[in-house]
Amino acid sequence: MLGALDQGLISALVALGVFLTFRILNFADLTVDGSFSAGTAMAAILLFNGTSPVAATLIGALAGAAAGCVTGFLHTKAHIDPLLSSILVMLAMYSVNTRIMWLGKDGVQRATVPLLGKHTVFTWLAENYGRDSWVTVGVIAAGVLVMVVFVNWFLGTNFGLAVMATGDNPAMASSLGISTDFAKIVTLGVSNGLVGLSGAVWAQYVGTAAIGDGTGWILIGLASVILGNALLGTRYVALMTLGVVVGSVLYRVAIYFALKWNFLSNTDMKFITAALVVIALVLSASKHVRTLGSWLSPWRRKPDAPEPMAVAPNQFSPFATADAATQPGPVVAPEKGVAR
Amino acid sequence: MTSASTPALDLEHVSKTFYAGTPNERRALRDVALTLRPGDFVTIIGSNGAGKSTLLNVIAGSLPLDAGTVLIDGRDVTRLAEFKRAVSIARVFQDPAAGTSPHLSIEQNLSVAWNRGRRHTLGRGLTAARRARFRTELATLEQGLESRMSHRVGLLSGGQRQALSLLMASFTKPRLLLLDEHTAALDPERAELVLRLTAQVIADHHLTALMVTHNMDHALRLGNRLVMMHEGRIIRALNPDEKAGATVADLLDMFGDARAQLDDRTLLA
Repeated sequence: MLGALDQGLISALVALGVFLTFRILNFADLTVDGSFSAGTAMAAILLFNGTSPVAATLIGALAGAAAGCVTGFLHTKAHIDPLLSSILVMLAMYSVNTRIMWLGKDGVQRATVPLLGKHTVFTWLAENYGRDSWVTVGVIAAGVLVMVVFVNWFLGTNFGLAVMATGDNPAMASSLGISTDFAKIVTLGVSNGLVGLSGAVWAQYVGTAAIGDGTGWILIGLASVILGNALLGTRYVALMTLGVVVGSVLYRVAIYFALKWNFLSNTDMKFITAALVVIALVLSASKHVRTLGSWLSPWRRKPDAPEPMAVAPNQFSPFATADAATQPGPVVAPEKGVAR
Repeated sequence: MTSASTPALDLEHVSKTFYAGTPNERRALRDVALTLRPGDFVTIIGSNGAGKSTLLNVIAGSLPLDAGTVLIDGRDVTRLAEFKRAVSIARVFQDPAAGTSPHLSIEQNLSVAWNRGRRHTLGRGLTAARRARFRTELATLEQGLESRMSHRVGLLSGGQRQALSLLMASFTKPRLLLLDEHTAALDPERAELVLRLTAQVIADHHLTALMVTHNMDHALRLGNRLVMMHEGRIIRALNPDEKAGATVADLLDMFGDARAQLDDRTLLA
């Protein structure tokens, strides 16, 4: 059970990254599987070669960030569709990560880097508090909280607002002088940096890095984001980011119990995750469920009754009907401010 | 370099053709020339497909030019990306949804707009000083928006969104304000309000502006010059004196004459 919490918290970093691309940037970024592996491979091989755990973890995160930036360049500069550019990078990263794992000091070409007996970020915790302990959960939770605060800080800056505007209304963002290309590249970098960080920590947590480690993480991240946002709502960025962490932990705990009570085998996980995402996407597109969701949400707020918006372009076009133009203009009646 | 005689906007031989070389080829702009002195407010009228919106798009840089040059304050910006030109050019679009970000709050939208021409730093996007400034600015719209600054813009009515777009486009005092049929999607009452606000902000900030409209009455009431377009050409331009005395009926006559001449010429050519 404690292990499920640990795993949920570590994968919450992936979910935070997915949140930045899917929710904030409105960019379907599948680089995740590749950048997660980049994090595991890079951190593992560095630790294997004796680098300090903190440095290895940070460089692992940077490897993920680099992969994200490449996706950003392919999309913005080579004008490749978001989905395709990220799939291309994900595929290419498989080869790159394999090469990274061959960088062991002994020159052996490994498909798995064992970290048994290596000094990792968890060594001290394991020696003092054992493999599974509430202290470990607390330390990981604190680390994740720092990243949640970081994401909130990032989105609250001038640049962060520009990123949000880019995701929400790119045409407006350009017309306000925002380089949407730069905003996308940086955000993809930050997002995949978080994913790489998660991979780097994950490798140290499970004590090994294998080339296939990254497969399926995009769906786990997406499931966490959808679950978390459904639970805590999408009204505030802070709640959305916290919700993502909650979603990730709940997902792991649910899987823990499903495995424990023998509902599922470990190999069913990918199918279950895919099915969960499909269900969540279908439900979130349904109007009835949205209404229900907004009723259940503790942060629901009655929207101000929108005034009906008459869309009648060219209503007075003098070139269409000459008579219409000679009609007197309507009397000026200032709109009353909505009293609240 | 900028002197009193430097035009705020100078278009020379501007041409744009869509789908060139295909059966759908459409010449949206044909050798258009237009010069705006600082403080000019030009209204543009013309039939559907006259090239009015295309003209604004090539000035703003959201469409590349086939030929010609665009100068802002004497500087050639023809090859400059849209977001770089946006430092000196602000726009309000026809669709109220186009000029604002629906999922951001009113104050966040204003903050993004306030950063026009500034570096997008890692400093706070919303500070107490900025909020106070935005509150004062919003009050000038007389929409009660100053008490709803944390509300999402998606919850506002079309008229309110358009008023907000206008504020976002104008309160940083851009060198050139482009208004693309910005009242066309509103009901007459809201259109009137946005029009009144437009005249107000342009006068208050001494902006140089181009306004495309389908409404001849609006085109005559606002601005000091008027330009009439047809099939990608400027077929008639009214100077301040001519515009001051013109009526809607005059405009319709001018349009009829100019079009007849043009059609004759096309026929003879």
